Amino acid sequence: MRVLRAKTTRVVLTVVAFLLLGETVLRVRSYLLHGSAGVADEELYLPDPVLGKALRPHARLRGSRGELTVNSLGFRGREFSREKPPGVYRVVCMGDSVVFGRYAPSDDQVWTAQLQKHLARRWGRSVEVINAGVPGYSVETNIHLLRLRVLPLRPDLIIVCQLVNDLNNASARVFGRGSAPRTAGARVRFAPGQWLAAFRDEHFLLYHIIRKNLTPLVATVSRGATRHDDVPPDFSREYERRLAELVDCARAGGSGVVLCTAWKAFGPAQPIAVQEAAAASLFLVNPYLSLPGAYAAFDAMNQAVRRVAQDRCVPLVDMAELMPTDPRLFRDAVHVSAAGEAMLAELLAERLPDARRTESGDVVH
Amino acid sequence: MSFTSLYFAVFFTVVFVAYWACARSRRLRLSVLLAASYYFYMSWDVRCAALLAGSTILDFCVGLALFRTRGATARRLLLAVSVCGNLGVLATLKYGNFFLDSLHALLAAMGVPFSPARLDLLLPVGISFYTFQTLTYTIDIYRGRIEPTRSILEYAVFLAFFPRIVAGPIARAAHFLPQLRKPVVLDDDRTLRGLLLVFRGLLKKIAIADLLGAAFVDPVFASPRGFGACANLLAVYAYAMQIYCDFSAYTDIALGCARMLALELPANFHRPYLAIGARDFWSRWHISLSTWLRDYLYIPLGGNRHGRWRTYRNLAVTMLLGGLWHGAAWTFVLWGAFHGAWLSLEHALGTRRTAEELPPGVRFWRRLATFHMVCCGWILFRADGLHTVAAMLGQIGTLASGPVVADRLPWLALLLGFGFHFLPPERVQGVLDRFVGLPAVVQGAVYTGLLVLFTAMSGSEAPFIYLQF
Repeated sequence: MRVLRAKTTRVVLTVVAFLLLGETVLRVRSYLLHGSAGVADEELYLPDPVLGKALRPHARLRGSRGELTVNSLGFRGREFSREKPPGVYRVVCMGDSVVFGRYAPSDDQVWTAQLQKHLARRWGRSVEVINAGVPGYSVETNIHLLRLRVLPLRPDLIIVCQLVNDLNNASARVFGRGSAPRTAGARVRFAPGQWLAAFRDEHFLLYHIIRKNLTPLVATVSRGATRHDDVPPDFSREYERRLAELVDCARAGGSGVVLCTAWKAFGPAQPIAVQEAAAASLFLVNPYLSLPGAYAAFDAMNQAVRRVAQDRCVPLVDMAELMPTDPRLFRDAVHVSAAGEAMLAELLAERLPDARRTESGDVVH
Repeated sequence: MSFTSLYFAVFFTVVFVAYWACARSRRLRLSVLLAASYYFYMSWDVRCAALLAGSTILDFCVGLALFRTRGATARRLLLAVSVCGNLGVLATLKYGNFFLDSLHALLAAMGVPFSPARLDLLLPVGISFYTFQTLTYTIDIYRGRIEPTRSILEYAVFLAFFPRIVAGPIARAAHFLPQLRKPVVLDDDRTLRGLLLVFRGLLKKIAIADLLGAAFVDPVFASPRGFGACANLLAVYAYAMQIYCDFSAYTDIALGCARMLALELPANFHRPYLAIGARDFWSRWHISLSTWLRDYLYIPLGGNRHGRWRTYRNLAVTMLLGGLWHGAAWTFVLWGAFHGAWLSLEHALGTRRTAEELPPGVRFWRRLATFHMVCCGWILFRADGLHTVAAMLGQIGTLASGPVVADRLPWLALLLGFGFHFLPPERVQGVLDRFVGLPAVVQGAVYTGLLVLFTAMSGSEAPFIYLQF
């Protein structure tokens, strides 16, 4: 009892109490927003030895922001059979959080689900669009995903919409402290220190929220005046190389490929303050770029996509040109609102190569 | 296991609870400390523990033998076994490749073909620190200043004590061993002060040193010609503050952890950038090393007892070896030579007045000049080669124009670092006393806030600079 009355013990208990209080408040908030009191990442992802993290089969998050389900095969949305049903034209959309549709109120409102309806109506045939987008994935991760999980589905067409993760990773590596972004659940080898860190990463929402929100904020404050006006050296070449590898890999697996350029919520026609506000969320996760740097980066990425499309004779949907920078269409710098999801689906449906079945039964691309 | 990691926090909590649970039994308490220390040390590399254990057994046995032996020759022989054994291992593991590379370069310059194979040797972390520490034990017994301990457990804890094993401070057996024999009582005030020291160390390391390194120092030292004179100069000043905050942070955490276990380690810093000369600087910077060099190298070499030129030679040799102690590179040797030459020059000029004896104006200019001399030394210390030193001095000397790092937070960190350094100790002590006197809930709230800050700021977990030595 004497130990418990000691001031040191009370100080330590106060710290523990504050941390537990913070954890509780954040879990209640998480429950109200997502329908789950756990760490959202823990609910949604599983550690994967190759991909770092993968969607957790049967995950279901439901809250005030909407509903999100992962099917038994680990893809967002409704169940589908691994074997392609006869007569069905199977499309797989690959990319990151913009494909996954983290802000869509329900699975049916993600642009991929809406695209399925548009294509079925346009082409007059049975079309199945699978959402293979995973938040945080880069092109490199998507190459692994393609080989491991997408090609076995024998898709007829793969649509690739990859936005800013590669850019953010390269910026952190080149302009940052040299630390690559953390991958939830990735463990190199067993060691008590790594086990503790992994346990903290996976089970403490407070830690997760601090790292997700405060760390970029600190980096933003500390690097406010030294943002870069240019892209990391070699980024463009490396991005192009990986994208080409993805295309080659998909084609080798017998699928057609459509590439999309990266859209964004800000454009030079807007007043500077509006551009800055629209790009704010990008700068939160990529505090190394200035506004001109962001334009240069998007330009570099999109030029790379166009070059790959041209070199590999792959259809291109130039979403960078097509998607208006209307604030009503966006939730942040790159993620779209419900109206944006609908617009994306429409724009893509209009421009995808026609896959109507001909009288001979062949598919026209 | 870095002091800034969650792993260490959990480890220390377990050790703290186990230590105080066994506090009444001296043997049990020391066993807990020894097990914890070896676990901590093995977390860096399991193989390192064998060398540490070897050093422990060697010097424990030599210590006992020295005490029992009467003959001068035999005693000298025993001391030689300890010194050569420990320094031999240090020289082989730390300097083997350096000597071979230097020999290769020298012979190549003379046109002699010689390509020695590089030694693929393990370099145990903290070997320089514990080697010097273990030598204090045998040398002090040889000199008759202390008696050897009869308990190998006691001696093993002295050598392996985890808060200081990898980067000091270098404790003396005469100071540390008696503490292990005394009964200990869990004292609330002392524990809180220890905890405060730990958090002060973490703040210095994560919020100041790492930030200064990433923002001002690393980019400029990596490519000095890419920056102008101002940025290069700023990088040097920032490095002066970074290395102070980094190393004193490690010392604070070590002292704080030890204090929570009712053990005291020697202080290592006393506002070094307020020094008025080289000798004053070395009485304020890395005090445990500088006093070791003085007592176990400079004075045995003859000190200042054999005339002016012998004194200069002794100073030069001491500082050269002190420089080499830091690392196997010519930049460290040059850094040591620079300080040796500066100390000799100061000795030749005969400036012996203390800061308090100087008029305020003179004191200010002496401090400013000393700080800049120390900064010149830091360029040698931090640079990865002489080409970097030349490039930095060239950029500064020619007043080259170029971009200046203008981040907001690092500037604040730089100011905070200077604040930590220049605040009078009595004022700092007053603040610490008041903080420890605050209600537990307020202290807890502050610590929670700091933990959130550390979590947000700890990025790549840059290792402590002195861990490499």
